[in-house]
Order: sequence, then C-alpha cells, then structure tokens
Amino acid sequence: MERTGHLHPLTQIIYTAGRYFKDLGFTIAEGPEIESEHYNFDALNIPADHPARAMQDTFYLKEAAGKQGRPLLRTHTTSVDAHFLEEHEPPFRIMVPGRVFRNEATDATHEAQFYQIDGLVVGEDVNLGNLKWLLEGFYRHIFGADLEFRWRRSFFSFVEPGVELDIKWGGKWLEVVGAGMLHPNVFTAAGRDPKRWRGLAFGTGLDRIAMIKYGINDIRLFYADDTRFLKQF
Amino acid sequence: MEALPTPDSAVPILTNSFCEVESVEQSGDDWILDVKILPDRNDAKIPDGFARELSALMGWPLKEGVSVLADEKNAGATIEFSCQKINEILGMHISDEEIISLLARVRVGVRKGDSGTCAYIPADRTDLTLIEDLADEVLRLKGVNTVPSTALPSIPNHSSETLREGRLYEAAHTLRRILASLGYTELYSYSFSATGNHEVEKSLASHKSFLRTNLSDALTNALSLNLQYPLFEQEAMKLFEIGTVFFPDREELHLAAGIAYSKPKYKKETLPEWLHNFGEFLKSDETREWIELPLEKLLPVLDTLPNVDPSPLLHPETVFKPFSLFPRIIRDIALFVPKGVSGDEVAVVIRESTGSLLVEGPVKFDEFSKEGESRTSLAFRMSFQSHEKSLTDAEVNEALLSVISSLEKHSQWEVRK
Repeated sequence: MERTGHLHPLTQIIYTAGRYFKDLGFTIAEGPEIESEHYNFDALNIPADHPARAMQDTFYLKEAAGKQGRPLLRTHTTSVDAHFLEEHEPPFRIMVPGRVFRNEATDATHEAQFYQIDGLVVGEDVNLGNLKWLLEGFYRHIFGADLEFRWRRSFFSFVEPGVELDIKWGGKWLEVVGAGMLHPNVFTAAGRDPKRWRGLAFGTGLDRIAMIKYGINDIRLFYADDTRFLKQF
Repeated sequence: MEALPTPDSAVPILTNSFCEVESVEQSGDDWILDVKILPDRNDAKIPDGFARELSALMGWPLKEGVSVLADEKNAGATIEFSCQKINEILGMHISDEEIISLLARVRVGVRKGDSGTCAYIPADRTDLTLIEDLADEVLRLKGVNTVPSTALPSIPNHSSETLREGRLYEAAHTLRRILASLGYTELYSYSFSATGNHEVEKSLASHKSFLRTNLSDALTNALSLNLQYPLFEQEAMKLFEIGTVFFPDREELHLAAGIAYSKPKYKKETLPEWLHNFGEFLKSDETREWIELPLEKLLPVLDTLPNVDPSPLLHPETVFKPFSLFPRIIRDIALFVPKGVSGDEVAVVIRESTGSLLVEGPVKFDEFSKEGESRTSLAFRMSFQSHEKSLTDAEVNEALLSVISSLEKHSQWEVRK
C-alpha cells in the first residue's frame, strides 16, 4: 500500500522554477490576491481607457472603491512587481509565483483561476539579451536541454519593447511567455527614475507549462480535488 | 507590371515582428490575409498602413508617396535620440548607420540638430513616444532572434533580506514536503465558494459568488469523495491544502490537512503529533479527523521537524494518463507458489496477461505459508475499467481466465478457486 503522498503538479513546477531563479540570486516575492485597480492596472501602464484593460476579464468585488480604485481579484502576478518596485530600492531580482483570476467561461483550456510566475530584474545595465538568456535557461531547466526556441516581438502595456517566446514541443510551436523591458511609465508610477533604472519583466502561465510538460488535456483537473489525477504526479 | 510577391515569405516575418496571421487564402491572383493587429498600431489598420508595414519588414517597393520620411515639417512628434541607448536596451551593437536606415524604413527620420540628435515621428505613429519605442522598432526590423542571449551579471552579496512573504513561501514548501512524505496528497481547491465576506461581480455560478473563508469545506468534501478510489476499503485517504482564505479585513495563508477512513472500524492512523498539538483547531467525526490553521502559527513548529529531501517527491518525467469515468470492477486472485517465488515475479505474469482493461494493480495484499509446507499462498487485488463503456462481469472474467491460464503454465503454481 502507498506510503508517500503527492505534491500537486503545480507545486512541483513552482518548486522547480524557484530553484532555478534562486540560484541566480532571485528573491521570492508574494502579494495579495485581492488587489486594487491601481496596482493591477494603473501602476502597470494600463490606464482606464487602455484597450488592454478591456481585453482582460476582471473579477471586481461588490465593494466600494478605495483610494487605489475598485477592489478586484488580481488578473496577473505582475501586480506584485508594482508593489515591490515601490517598496524596494533597486537593484533587485524577484520571482513572483501565485494564483490569478480571470472571469472567463471555463472549458478544457480556460479556468477562472490559474497560476503564474512573474519575474522582475531591475538594474542599471540589464538588457533584452539578458532577458533572452534568463528565459531560455528557465525553459531548458523545465523542459530539457535541447529545447528549440522562437522569439517574436509582441505588445504588453507594462513593457517596451515586448516579446513572446515559443517553444517547439511535439512538432508544434507553443507560446509560453510574454516578456520585455519594463516600461518607463511603470518606473515612474513606482517613484523610481526610468532614466537610471532598466528592468526585465516576464509573466508565464504555470498551468499551461504543466499541461505541456505532463501531457494534461484539461486545465480543470488541477482544481478538481480528484486523487485519480493528483496521485499520478 | 510585375507579379505581386506571394505571402509565403512574409507570413513568418509578420508573425515574428508585427502581427498574428490567422489565415492566408488565395483569391484569383490576389491574396487575403486575416491578421490580428495589436491595439497599439491603429495606423496599420488601414490598407496603406498595412502596405507600409509589409514594405518596411520585407523591403518590398511601394507606390510613390505612400511612404514619406518624417521631418521637421510633417512630423507628429519628436523624440530625443541616441543610438547608444537603443543598443543598451537591446543588448546589441548595431552601427549608427544601420539603426538610422532601419528607422527610415518605418518613416522615422533622424536628424542631428544644434541641441542634439532628434527622431522625427510620422503623425500617424502615435504609439512612438519614447526612445524605448524606437528600440522596439529596431528590434522588430532586425528580428528578436538576432538579439544575442547574454548571461545576467552575477550579483555579489545579493541582499539576503528575508521578506515576510518570502518566509511564508519557504515555510509553505517545507510543510508540503513534510506532509507529502507522510503520505498526504496535495489539493488546490477553488478560491470561490457559495458564502463568504467578499462577493464578486458577474460570478460564474451562484455557488462561486464569494471568496472562500476556509479550506476545510473543500478538504472534507474531497476526503469523502476520494475514499471510493483506493483499491482497499481499509485504506486511509490523506489530503492537505495550503492556500489563501479571505476575511473581511485581510487574507491569510492557511494549511488544512485531514485523514479519513471508509468505516469507523478501520480507523488506525491520526494526524501527525505536531498538528495534534493545536487542539483548538482540530475537528473530527466518526471516520475523519482534520485541522485548519494559519500557516503563520506553524512557523515555530517547522523548525523542530526534520528536513525532507524534495527529490523523491518530484516527478518531472510523469506523463498524465486520462482516467476513465466508467465504473471499475475489482477482482482478487490467490494462488500457491513454491517457497522462494516472489510476489513481484507473479505480479509480472499477471500484468502481462490481463490485457488493456487492467487499470490498477496487481497489488499483493496477503502472503502466508503454513509451518512445514513447501509452498506459499499469495493474494493480489486489481481493478478493471474501460474508457469506452461500463464493463460486464463476463468481460472481466475473460481477462481473469487468461491470467489463470498464464499463471498455471508455471509448474507448481496453483490458482486457488
């Protein structure tokens, strides 16, 4: 009969990621799951009228707005970057794992709750080449040394330039992360001088990484509390 | 007139540097591309704008007058310009001439003036306001793949500031390892529940309108629900979760752990002693015992517990096997074998002869030999299930008959019927 229990597959991914980033001098940072509009959007260069704000289906709480705007469930762990940048003098390197929420109809590839890791490196001399190195190393750490990459230019409000990374898996290109150089407006919102500091930022969905890595066909299994699933890992 | 270029060469470059290409269709000697233009590029949502973008990326010639370099007279804005800054952002060493000629492809004019170098931005490129935006243009035209991967500089004496959050993260992972090593399996349940202190707008369902105030409800449900899955009814179900719960004034990281048996008579094990010490948080009924408490309260205890090596708990090579939702049928098989034949040896024969319906087992659950006898009695349990339908007894019996005949091919192996 079984003696050892099982860590949730997302715990295993977070732990494995944590080891990679900690070896590179990263600190683990966490933040609240109930967030304000300010830290979830405004501080990240996503103003109220910005199209990116409409693109995200946000769970707002039925509660009055405070000084930082309406309370909501964070839609990304990037909100923790905004807090950290405001509270800590750079340079620093942080990794932010955590649960995030989107108001979407659930199906095999969509869940209203899922996990992300955000990363932020702030220094005077960091560049996009460092970001490529950091993330290529990370996905090799998770998926294996001979992984093939395809970098594409992309757009996210809180970075400029913005990029996305695809990995080749099962003969197909799969998008795994959005990233870029932290936008000067994000520095300014946090009270840091964008002329002095540069930042590398990335955000990756862990459920998706776990689904690719373990061949899981339905994201809802992560949250179904079913040991027929959980005991396979 | 020259034939239009075909989109084969343009699609990957559009994908890598500008927009997602959803589909490409040929219509006569024309091509129809369905593309998704990002919200920052309104200028490219008109035909001339898209043509300019294609021309910039592919070097395809344009009709005269469609692409005009911005200058003092027609520019919508100016940006203080520095090639060095662009190279610093990208981590590249592109020559000034190349940067200026790349920017000219997107109509950005660069001119040295009395007060420094200035970039003139076309009036319709309202997305270009900072030097970072120009770095982005250079990046697109060069291709992200041309940026060399460069190691992050190592940081000497990295500030080992212990953040409160970081401390809880470490504690949570330590606790997970300890509980998993004690046979507890980890859940990640829903943050949403039917009641609570914080209600969400536009909830997905009425039972998911609030944020949870505890982990125990989901844990105790899961304990009961999962008791149907072990092969043996006397087996315990041991589960835990570490997650955030939401109170009116704060959110808190909790641990919940529980152990359950299918019947009171099987109760054997309890929660570990170091959890039992928190008696005020402990709950139990006839078949179950569970606890929920803030992780913060466990911090002093964690220091006293032995460290658990995570390696045996990490299974990076696992490939998920979908499980069937049809009912399973459990069968036991018992046999005599000569002393010295191991259970493993017999299990291999069983596994090889059961066919594809076997989903769990064979698990050896009994072994004895009478004093003075030269043979041993072994008993195994297994479960059968199909992905397509509910199995019948007859189908399972057929699989068992094949097992029996394989076992009995071995001399002196005698299946007990």
